[in-house]
Amino acid sequence: MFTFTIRRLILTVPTLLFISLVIFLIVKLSPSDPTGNLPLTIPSEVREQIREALGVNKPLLVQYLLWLKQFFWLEPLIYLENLTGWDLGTEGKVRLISYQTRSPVMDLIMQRMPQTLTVVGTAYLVGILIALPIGIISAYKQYSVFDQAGTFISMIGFSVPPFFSGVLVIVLFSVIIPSDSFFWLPSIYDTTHEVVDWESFKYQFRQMIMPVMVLALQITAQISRFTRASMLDNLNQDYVRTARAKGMSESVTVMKHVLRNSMIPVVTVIALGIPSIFGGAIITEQVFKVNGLGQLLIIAIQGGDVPTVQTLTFIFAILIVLFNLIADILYGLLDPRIRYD
Amino acid sequence: MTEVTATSADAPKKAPRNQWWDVWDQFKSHKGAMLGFVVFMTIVLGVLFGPMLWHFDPTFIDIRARNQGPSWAHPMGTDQLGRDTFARMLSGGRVSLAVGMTAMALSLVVGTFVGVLAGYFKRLDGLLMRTTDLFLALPLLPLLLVIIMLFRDKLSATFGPEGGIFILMVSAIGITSWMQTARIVRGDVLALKEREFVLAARSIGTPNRRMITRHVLPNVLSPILVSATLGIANAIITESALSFLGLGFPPDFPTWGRLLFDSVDYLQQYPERVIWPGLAISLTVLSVNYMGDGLRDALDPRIRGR
Repeated sequence: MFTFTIRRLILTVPTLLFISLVIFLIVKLSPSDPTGNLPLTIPSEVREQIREALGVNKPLLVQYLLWLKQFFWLEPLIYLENLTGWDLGTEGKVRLISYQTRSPVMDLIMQRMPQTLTVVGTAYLVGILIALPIGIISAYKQYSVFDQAGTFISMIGFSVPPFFSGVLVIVLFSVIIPSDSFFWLPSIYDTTHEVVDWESFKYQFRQMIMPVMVLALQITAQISRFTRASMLDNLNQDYVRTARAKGMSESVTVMKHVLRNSMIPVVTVIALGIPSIFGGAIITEQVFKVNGLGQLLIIAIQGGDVPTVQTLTFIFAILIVLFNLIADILYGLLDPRIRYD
Repeated sequence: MTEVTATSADAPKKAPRNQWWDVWDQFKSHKGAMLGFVVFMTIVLGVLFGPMLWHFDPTFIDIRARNQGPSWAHPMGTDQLGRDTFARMLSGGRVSLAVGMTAMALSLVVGTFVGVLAGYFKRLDGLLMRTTDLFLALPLLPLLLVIIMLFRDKLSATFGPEGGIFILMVSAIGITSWMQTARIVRGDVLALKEREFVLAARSIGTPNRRMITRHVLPNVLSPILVSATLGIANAIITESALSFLGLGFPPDFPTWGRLLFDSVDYLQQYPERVIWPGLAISLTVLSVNYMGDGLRDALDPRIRGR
């Protein structure tokens, strides 16, 4: 198991380097000019000095290595300093600075992270909690009315994109239902809202319902289908017949023997899905005006803010690689047949 | 001797049936797939011929008739500039479906090419599959947003605002969605290579090029067809998502995603306006998904005939 983990860990290094290079080249080789948004009255020699200060005149390789050094060495050091209060000599070093706000990109990301994590994290949990029972029951009662309904709901979850389901629930619960009604829900997610007592908790709960449910529908669709397929694979196996023949109760057979074995691929799919949810949350965040990471990316793209765009996209990539790794290791841990070492 | 052959040729003589008729029979028995097929064909024919038959121009501005509700003259009402929403839906659907199908075709070509090469030639396998894995690890939606934002102006200057963004959109979606097809095709080609008919073809000296076009490609057609349907659904959703984020076609050039994006600003006053484009996108994708489901069953010889 140990060598398996080590081997997978080593493989991630070239993957990350390749992805960072792709992101860097796409942003750098594009025909857009970082000084393009500045006023036209700036003389060309001053413009040249600005470009010099931004470091965009250096050879591409130097720029790439500098970016990597900032991202993988300097920023973790600064994070460590803030955490522990040590002095690691990062004073005066050039950090990744956003073109738009002139503040370090990492600080911006740290400000936005909690909002995204609350909404996306809750949605993922809710989605899984809904999906698992649906998947199990649909497989156990294959082709029943419940199964057909489950299939239809997951087809809807696959087909209705979040920018329509989100807008649709806003129309239903925020526009058509009058605002003094019990069922009215706020359409804008207020991130400055603080939970201090029961009333404010209730408001927080209400404003989270719509974004969380819209995201959860997508997650439920995928995971319930997968659970169903995996359960069906296992229900026809010989060991199930053996368990029944030994006189085990139906609930023990299904919940202990079948479920445990079917969860192996489902757990890895759950791990693999987490990064794609961050990507999908870009749209949901835009619909419900959550000022999370996705919204930061959209603003940065519209403002031509190269360092922020680069860093954010790369962080999304790291998440994908990281959760791929976690899924692989989990798979090896849960299923001994996978660890061929 | 001659008598025997004559009778056996006479007796159960039935014209040999093309296997695609069997596929069609199985496809017909899948209710959801049939319904999806009818809905999808209605939408395709509607957006193809609708703009020729409908008497309003999608860009015609009639400012006196702005913000109208549904009526006989305007079945879906008019927008804030008095343009007929029905006409805009029809021509928007043209663009959305065109983007979806072209992007799907591109991703199929790339995916099949990579998959066949990787499966057929052992030397290329490692390299091509590692590349596929790397592409799968890219964060697609953020990357698409970045690509569109950065290259939009340049391409618009060369090919015109609509043509440029069309090329950009199709190629961006195409090159970020071929990986699944490539993996499936590679797996099938690897299995096909071990079959006897391939050995027989090789033993009579068939060159690699004809081997692939005559023997391998026709046999991997069914997984390609299934991933084509999923590809259309995926491409339409991606295009609408980009338009919805404001990074799609220019404002005076309607697509379903763009119409939805524009209607969100008037959500308070005219909530019904977001329904039409959203419903069109969802219905198209739903019908395509059901078609894919039926096609998968119909193309699987183990299920066929049951």
